[in-house]
Amino acid sequence: MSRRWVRWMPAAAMPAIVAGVVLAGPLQAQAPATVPARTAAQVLALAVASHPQPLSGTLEETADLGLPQLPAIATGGASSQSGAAGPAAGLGQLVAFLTAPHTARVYLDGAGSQRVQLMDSLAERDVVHHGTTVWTYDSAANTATKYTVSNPLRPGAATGGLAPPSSKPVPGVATLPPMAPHDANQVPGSPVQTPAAIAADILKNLDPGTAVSLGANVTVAREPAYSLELVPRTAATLVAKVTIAVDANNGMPLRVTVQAKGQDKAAFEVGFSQLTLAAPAASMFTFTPPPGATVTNSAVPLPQRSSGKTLDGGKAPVSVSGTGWAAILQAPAGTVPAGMTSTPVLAQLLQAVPGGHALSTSLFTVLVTPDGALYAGAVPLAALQQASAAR
Amino acid sequence: MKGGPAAGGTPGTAAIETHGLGKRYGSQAAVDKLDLRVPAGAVFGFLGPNGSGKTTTIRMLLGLANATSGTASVLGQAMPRALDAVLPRVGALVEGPAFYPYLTGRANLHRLDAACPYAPTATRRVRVEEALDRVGLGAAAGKKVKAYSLGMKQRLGLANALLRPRELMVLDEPTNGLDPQGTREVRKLIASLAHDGTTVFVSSHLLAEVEQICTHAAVMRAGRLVAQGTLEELRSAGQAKVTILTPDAGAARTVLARLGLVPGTVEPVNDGAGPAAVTAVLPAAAVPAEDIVEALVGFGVRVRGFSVDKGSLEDRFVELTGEGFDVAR
Amino acid sequence: MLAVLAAVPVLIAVAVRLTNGTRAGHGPVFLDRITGNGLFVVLTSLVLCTPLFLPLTVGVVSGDTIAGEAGQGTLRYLLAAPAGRARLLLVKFAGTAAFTLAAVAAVVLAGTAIGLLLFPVGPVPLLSGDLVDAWTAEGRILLVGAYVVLSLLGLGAIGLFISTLTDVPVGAMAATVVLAIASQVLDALPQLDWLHPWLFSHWWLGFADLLRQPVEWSSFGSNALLQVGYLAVFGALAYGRFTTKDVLS
Repeated sequence: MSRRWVRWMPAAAMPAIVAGVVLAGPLQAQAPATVPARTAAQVLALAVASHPQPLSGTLEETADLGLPQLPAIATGGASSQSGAAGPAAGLGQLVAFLTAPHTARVYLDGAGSQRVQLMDSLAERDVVHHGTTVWTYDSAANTATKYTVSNPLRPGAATGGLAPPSSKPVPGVATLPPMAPHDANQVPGSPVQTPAAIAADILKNLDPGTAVSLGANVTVAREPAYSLELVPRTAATLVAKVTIAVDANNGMPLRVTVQAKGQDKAAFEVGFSQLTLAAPAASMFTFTPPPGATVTNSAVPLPQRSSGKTLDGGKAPVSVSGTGWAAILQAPAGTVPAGMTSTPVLAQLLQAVPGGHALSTSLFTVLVTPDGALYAGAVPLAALQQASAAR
Repeated sequence: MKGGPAAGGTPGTAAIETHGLGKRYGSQAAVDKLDLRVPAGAVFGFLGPNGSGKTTTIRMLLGLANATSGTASVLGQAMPRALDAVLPRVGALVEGPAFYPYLTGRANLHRLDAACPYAPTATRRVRVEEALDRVGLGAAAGKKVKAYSLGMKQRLGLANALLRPRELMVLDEPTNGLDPQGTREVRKLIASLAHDGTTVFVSSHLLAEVEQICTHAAVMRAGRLVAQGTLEELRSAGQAKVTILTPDAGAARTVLARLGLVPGTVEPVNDGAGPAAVTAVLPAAAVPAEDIVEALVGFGVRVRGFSVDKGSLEDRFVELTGEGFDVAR
Repeated sequence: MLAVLAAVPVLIAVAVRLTNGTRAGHGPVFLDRITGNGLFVVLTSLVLCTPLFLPLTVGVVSGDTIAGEAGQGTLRYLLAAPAGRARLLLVKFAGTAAFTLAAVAAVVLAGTAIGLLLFPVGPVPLLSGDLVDAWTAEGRILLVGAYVVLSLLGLGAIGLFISTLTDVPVGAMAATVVLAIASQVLDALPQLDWLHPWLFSHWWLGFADLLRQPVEWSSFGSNALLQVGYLAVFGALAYGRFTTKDVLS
């Protein structure tokens, strides 16, 4: 009988060994890094003063906004439909973006040339920015689109982050804390932005309404980093805390984590899982559409979202009420076409509330009134309803 | 190969020895407290009705099944611990032959021989042909096994057991499915193996087969070993029977009882018109047969006939295994 | 089974040839690229075969390993030979691995051959939109083949273990194939995303990462680790089960 017991030993030990290996990996990575002691203000200054680094890395973006999760089968086809531009297709992508995690490879030469490769399953969406040209390529649809931007170092043409350029810019995207439009970290037309770009947006709007402190040092993509914690002082926002991992060596933000109130898991996080601080090969930034691809030369520049935050190609000016974390974006009546709220994808997300239809997530809220006006902000629904009623 | 074939043939040593060997499936004991001893060089008949635990015992001896209690040693080494050292010296036919139906008989033997890491590759071709010839399959060796009859498969199974010189052959029901001629050939084969000094362990439910070829036998019943020894020992252990033909059946029974015998039923002969037959088991230690007649006559019993029958092996077998009999242990 | 697998690329190529191609975004990935470049026949076939046909054949072969011998009765003779239980298990797994290799090779070779025959071959556009020459592309395709073989080793180990549980080969085959499908279904449910990295099928289609420019190796590494983990766990389970099992067939 003892012999039988011995024979089962490997089977009993193997899961333990596997578990050990799996657990040992992260533990090693999280070994406390020894970095020079700095105050929160010093780290903040380090981050603000940091320059775009030449790098190649892999970004992991996850969002847990408390939205209904759709099986991959249902939304997986969305990317292949993007050629057929239309609100529904764009919204399908938005849903996929809001619910599914993403992995993207980022290549920056530090001098304004950028490439983002959003790695989908069996497909890839590329944004190649070199000089005044931005190419986007969607391998599933086999389409390439060429855009022209004004200034490589001052693109000023960054999109609202999540919406792909070919589709309609989507409300809700701009509800992350207001971002500064001009930053060399921004990748124009890219669906995924670097932590540096997002952090720059947040830090440039930093005001006394935010408590800045330092958390325990972390290691992100093998780089030791400070953990800069920004906590809104106001209770009027849904944002509980924004944590920026700042590279201890060069001040580059490596990871941005947004925590929503009443939720343990990060509502939104984008950070490097792998990072090499070296200039990528120059060939990475030259793009020639492959033979067989449908090529479009876009006469329209990349959708603007700067001083006059626009929706729908600049038809409707957006105004801001409130300040800081509790700011509410308002778009006047007619911004949202009638009937759009009943498209299948939106119908799944929106719920009828007093005063219109609302998209409530753990991090931000969008209210569409019956006349097509739109209110959005990182605030509870009641604040939006109030703003709507006050008009 | 470790040791020559002669090593197993040394008299006095045991080719198979078990102590308290047992196998339980749940609460049911398939084999219970088995103390088996197969002397080296013997042709050992392993008897028992179907389901008496013979095949389970063989599986444990070959390391196919794990004993739940007790120990077993084969060719002097503990099983299943020394499995790799022992099994190359053992040829086996277990519970009917089984082969890859889409391979030829020859290819099957090549495959099985290759399965053993200790089998010399260089002589494989020669050994396979020799084994095929020995069982009379030389002509059919190129045919696919699915085209074989049961008897041919049985022969191929024997050929597999004969692939190498063995010290012990374990043959489970080797004549199953064979025609009378095949049965004779198997008997001859076993005799020639025994002549070469190989210990042969034959399990069978056919008594006649065992009686003809074996030097030793053991009898299983419901998972227990009920007898073992040389055939002569088994026969003599069988109880002799005394039969008295007399009209005075009642008186004869009384006399037999007085002599310490247990008289059986009175069976009428010739429709009860003539004398009746009174039988009694005659244990070896009981009174001599001649004293019984004297006693009967002395008591005035009219003896018309008197006989003492030494038990046949068949009687013994039925006595040991058949239902309704007390098993003498 | 190898012939059936080899027929997949041939069927795809002939169908595309006869219908003059399809529009982008319809049908399986890469299908629309075939008319432009014959090498995509292989990739389309692998995309089609990896989730279903290949696991099916690997499930059949690995489920048959021990249970097939047991069902046929030859297992007792192999063990009495003596083949040695651990050795038999190793040989059987090696056989499964060799079959997996042969199966993927059948798809790759047949796909390459029919692609060269029916369609032009030239520089191949990768997922990133960059072009590489045909030789580099064929190298990438071989890498993808190696990736797929690696991907299926875990399933092979699972099949081997299931095969030691029963004497009915069909049962073991069916159970293995059902597991392969169940794993993919679970992988598609976002509610179970904590489980996804642990599913043996999680990285099956990750070979696309080898078709990016530059090659993304992380999924190859993760897949290799995962498969080795499955191999170790189910190999140990199969060993524990098989070496203590009563062979009663």
